Amino acid sequence: MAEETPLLELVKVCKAYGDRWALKNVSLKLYPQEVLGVVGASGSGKTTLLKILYLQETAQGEYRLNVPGWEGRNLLLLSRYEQPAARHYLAMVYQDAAQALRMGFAALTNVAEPLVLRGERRFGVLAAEAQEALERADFPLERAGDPPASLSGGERQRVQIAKALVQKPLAVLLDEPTTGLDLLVQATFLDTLRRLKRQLGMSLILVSHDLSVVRAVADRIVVLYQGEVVEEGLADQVLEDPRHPFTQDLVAARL
Amino acid sequence: MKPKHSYAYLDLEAKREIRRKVLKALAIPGHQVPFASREMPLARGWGTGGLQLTLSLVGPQDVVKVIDQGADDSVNAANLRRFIAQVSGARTTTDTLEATLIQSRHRIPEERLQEGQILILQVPIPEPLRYVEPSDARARELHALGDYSLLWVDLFEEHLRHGRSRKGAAYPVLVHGRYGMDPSPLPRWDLPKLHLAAHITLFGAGREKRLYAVPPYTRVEPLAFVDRPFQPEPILGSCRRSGCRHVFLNAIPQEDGSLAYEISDQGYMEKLLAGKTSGPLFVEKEHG
Amino acid sequence: MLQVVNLEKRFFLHRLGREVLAFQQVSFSLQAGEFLLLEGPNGSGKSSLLRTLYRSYWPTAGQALLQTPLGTVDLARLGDREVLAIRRERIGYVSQFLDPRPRTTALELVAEPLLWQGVAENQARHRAAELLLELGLKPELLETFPTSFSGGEKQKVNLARSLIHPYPLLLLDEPTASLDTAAKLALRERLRALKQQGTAIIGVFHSLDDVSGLVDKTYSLEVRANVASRA
Repeated sequence: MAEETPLLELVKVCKAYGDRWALKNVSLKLYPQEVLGVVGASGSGKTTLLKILYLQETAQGEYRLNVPGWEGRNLLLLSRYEQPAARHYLAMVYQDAAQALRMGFAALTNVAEPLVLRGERRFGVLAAEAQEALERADFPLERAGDPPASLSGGERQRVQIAKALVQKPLAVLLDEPTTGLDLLVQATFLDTLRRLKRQLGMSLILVSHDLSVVRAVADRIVVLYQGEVVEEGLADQVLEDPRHPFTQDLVAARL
Repeated sequence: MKPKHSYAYLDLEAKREIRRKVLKALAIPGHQVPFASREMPLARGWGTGGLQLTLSLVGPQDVVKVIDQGADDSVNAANLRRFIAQVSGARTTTDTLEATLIQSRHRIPEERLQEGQILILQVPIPEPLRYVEPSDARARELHALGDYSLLWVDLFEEHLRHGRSRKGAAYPVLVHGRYGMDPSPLPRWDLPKLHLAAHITLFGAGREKRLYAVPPYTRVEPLAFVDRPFQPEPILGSCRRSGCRHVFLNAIPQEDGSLAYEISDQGYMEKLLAGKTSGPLFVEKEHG
Repeated sequence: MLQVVNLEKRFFLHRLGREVLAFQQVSFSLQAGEFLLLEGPNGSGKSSLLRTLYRSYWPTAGQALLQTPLGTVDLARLGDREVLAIRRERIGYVSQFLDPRPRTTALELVAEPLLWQGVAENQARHRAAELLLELGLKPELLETFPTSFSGGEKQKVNLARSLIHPYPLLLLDEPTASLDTAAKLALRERLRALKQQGTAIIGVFHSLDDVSGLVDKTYSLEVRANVASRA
């Protein structure tokens, strides 16, 4: 089988805060149309990893995006003014919707925002595309005019998803997107992610401490322990046949 | 007898600084330039910024007009005009066409300004992002990145909720396609007058210590969706003294609750009433 | 089409300091259209063998050579991405566990593998419905969420999901548990048809009646003693 080109890759990424290493020699690849789960305990570096992927944190090492125009460039070396162009290919969904959304503006407005930033100046087009994204995210359209402050947790996450989708990113980064949501809401949200993966061919990097969440959507899993990748493999493989002691503990601890 | 203060009240260093900053502002249209705002013999909030600009630029050969909401004879405008004349020896006028420097609060005269004329506007809040981004440091970053998404988001929300923007004054504009600018406190009616104008427009905010500028023939475009174009205020009546319907009118509430209207630009109204010829207007007579 | 050579699976349980042997020195070959029955007492590693062939477990020794149109691949050594591709197109797996998806109907669950293949939505739904009805699922349940189904009904959905696409190799782990007689018969006929089309099957079946007339060869796994604990 021919060598497949990953969409993006991290090579030996290291990040220290003072003398504490948050990430040590982390390498990973994300392929087209796949969901990569990143699991680990709190403090394992999962969130730092996402921040680095979204260019919100500096780090040492290499970060490559395999899209035309960006071949050979290390995204970790970009200046602040070049970063927005690279971020164009990525979107982030946060655990706390307030970090990504303007809680006082209508859901539809929030979803339209990235399009305006990209230069769309027709109100009609903005409203239509935002609405379509909300629909794809299984958001109840009758609430499109409501601000996230008045929406439920699950609805807020769907607004975030819609806001990500509208940008037609290559990859969506999700940081514990279902934590704090009740179980049924979680399950339906994950269903939406699965459907989007199939219908839109999206790639996702999903960070979660909850193995069942990851199991539900991921194709492959990377396990972080104290800032290092200790195990990686197919989702069912890592969860059913964990080989590293930490992964075994993690899996055994599942309720 | 030795004069009690320097020419035009400001000392030489102050004048130099402000002139340099004005040149910088003209070179970067719409960009806010900080300046050391001096103590003026009137309280902050009463036009100290505009006054400092006028005093830095005025010379004995200048002809100065000062208006407040279009009127030359309001108390504030009259005081400022008297003060400027006193400290500079410049001539004063109410005729827009004669003036070389026009200091104004809230309005731009209706008669079209020409090359060589300078319009100086008094501005309370120079920062267009002030109401959507409370942090000043962050606002400066957004200007540097050319990121006006907050203004667009605000506009989108208005169209979503009300079908149009309901801002009266301080409608954000994009200058020279680059900087977002607050044209406060001009009403929407006056914004088209800034676009590709023959004259220089300067904006001074004394309390906030910033000045900015629009050089001649520069694009000044109100932020608007392409399919929901910017609309100035509609003219709702006619002037009760001149019958005019084609320029900005002040609405004056009457005792019985109804509204009467009068032309806001007093100088222009007086020309109409006296039958004198006025210059060409910014706005075509057919509109409004 | 499949040649397994000395395949072995051991588990290393770090916390317990123990090594567990699931199976070792398993060798057999299978041609297209052949049905191999795995036999052995409980704990002999039958399920583990199937899971290892599906790569849910990492093999610790040996090879599993699969013929594909692009050449022969060793399942034991394939990279993750290749395994995902093989699972999509070449190997199907049926266990007893249906993954709980609260808002997906039985029909959607079964149609999904076809949608992944690029089959048009209405065609996929049609084939899914056909198969589910063949296995005896009541028509009114097609558009219902399986979370409320009985064990047997869930198992029908499970089976249908793995049988809908004609995989060249099918791995079946006790697929008839909790099925009623009619469904077992339907399954048997379906498997017979698949065999005729060239599908190779490896199956673990509790009751031989369920597969009577289908079995071409059997392979017996014996219980291996656990290797002595590591300190």
